[in-house]
Amino acid sequence: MKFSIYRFNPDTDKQPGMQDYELSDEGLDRDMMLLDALLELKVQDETLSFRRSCGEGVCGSDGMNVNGTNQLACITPLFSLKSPIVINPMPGLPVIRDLIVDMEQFYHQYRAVKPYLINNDPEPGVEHLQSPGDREKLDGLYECILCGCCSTSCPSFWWNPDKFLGPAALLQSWRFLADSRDQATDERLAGLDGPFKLFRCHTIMNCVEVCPKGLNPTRAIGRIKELMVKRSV
Amino acid sequence: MSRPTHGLRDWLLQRLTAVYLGIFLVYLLVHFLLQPQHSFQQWHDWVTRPAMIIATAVFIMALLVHGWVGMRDVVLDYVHATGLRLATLSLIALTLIACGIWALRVLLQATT
Amino acid sequence: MTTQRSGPVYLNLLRIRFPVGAVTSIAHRISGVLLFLSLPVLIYLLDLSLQSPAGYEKTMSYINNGWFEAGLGLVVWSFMQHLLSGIRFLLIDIDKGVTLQAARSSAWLVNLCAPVLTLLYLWWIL
Repeated sequence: MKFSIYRFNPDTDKQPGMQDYELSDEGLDRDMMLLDALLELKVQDETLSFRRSCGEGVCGSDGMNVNGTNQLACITPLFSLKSPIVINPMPGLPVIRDLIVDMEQFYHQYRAVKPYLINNDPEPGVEHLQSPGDREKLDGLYECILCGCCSTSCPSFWWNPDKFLGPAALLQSWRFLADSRDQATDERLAGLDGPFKLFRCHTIMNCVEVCPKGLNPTRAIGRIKELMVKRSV
Repeated sequence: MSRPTHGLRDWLLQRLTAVYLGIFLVYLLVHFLLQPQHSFQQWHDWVTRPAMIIATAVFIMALLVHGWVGMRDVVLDYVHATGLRLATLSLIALTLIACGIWALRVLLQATT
Repeated sequence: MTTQRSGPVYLNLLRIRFPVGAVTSIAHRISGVLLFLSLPVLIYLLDLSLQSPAGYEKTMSYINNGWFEAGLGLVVWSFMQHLLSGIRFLLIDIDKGVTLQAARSSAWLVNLCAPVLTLLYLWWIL
C-alpha cells in the first residue's frame, strides 16, 4: 500500500511538501483502519505528526483530507481507499505541523453560537424536564463530535472563516434553538442575522457529504431560516 | 447596499423574486416553443399587450433585486479587500440600475 | 479572542474532491454570473427587434449567425442550469430533498438535464 502524505515542519520548512511512504501488504490486516496504517508509518518515521485519541470515531481528533475527502482516519477502512492514498490536512485552516491544523478559528465560531442552555427560570429542584417528543427533536443534532470535517469542506467557510460560522457551529446553534428548555430564541436568531454569519450558506451540502456521524447541517440551517421567517413575517 | 442586519430580508427577496422570474421565464420558453417563428408585427403585438408590458416591467424589477443579491453574494465570498469589494459592488449596482432603466425605456418606446 | 497562527493553509482545489452537489452549486453561480454579463446584449437585442421590421430582421440574422449561436447556446445553458438548480435550491429551502441521497440524485438530474434541454431547445427554435 502506497501513501503520499502532506509534510510541514515549522522549524525547518518554508514550504509544505508531499512525502511518499509504503507499507508492505503482508503486514496489513483486511479490517485495518487508516489510523492503524498511519500508526505503522509512524513507527517507520517518528516525525510524522497527526492527532488521534479514542480510535473509534467518538473523540473527533483525527479528521483529515484523504483522497480529496475529509474523514476520520480511525473509522475509514484502509482497503476502501484507492492506492496511493493521498493524505492532506483538513482544508482551509492554518497547519501547525504535518496533518495537525490549528482549530482555533473553528472553536471560536462554535463558542460564538453560545452552545449551552440559556434558561432564566429559577433553578428547578432536580432538573429541567423535557417530554420524550421534545427530546426527540434533538436527535441528529446532539451527536456532533466537533471533528471539523464539515466546516473545513465548506467553500463558504474557506472564503470567510472569520465571518461565516460554518456548518458545525450552525448545527449546534439549531440544537439549542430546537431545545424546549432553551429561552434565548430571539437573542440567538438576532445573533445570526446579517449577510455573513448564517447567510453565507449556499446549500452546497459538502458538509452532509463528509459528516462521519451522518448528520445534516444543511437541514439544520434550513430550519433556522424557517424559524427566522416565521418570527419576522 | 445591505446593512448588516438584513441577511434574512435579502435572502427572502432573492427567493421570492426567483419564483416570479422562474414562472415568467418558463412562460416565455413555452411560448417560443409553441410559436418559434414570428413576424415583426406578431412579435411587437405580443410584447406590447398591456398584460405583457406589466408582467415584463415587474420581471425587470425582480431581475434587478435577484441579480443584486446574487452578484453581491459572489463578491462577498471571493473579494475581501474592503476597497476592491466596495468598487466591485458599486460597479455591479450601477450596471444593474443602468440595465433596468434601459430595459424599461425599451418597453416604453415599444408601446408608443 | 483568537490568535491566528501563520502556518501554511492547505487549499488545493484540484486535489479536493467535489461531490456532485458542489458541481451543481458552482454551476449555479457561474451560470448566474454569465446571465448577468449577458444582460446588456439581451436588452440590446430586445430593443433592436422591437424598433422596426428591419430591426427585427437584423435581430433574427444575428441569432442565426454561427458565432452568435455559440454565445446564445451558452446563454441558453446558463438559463437552463440556473433555472433547474434554482428550483432544486428552493425545494431544499422548504425541506424537500435535503437528505444526502435525494440531494445527490437531484444534483445529477439538474446537471444532466440542463445541457440536454439546451440542445433540444436550440434544435427546436433554430
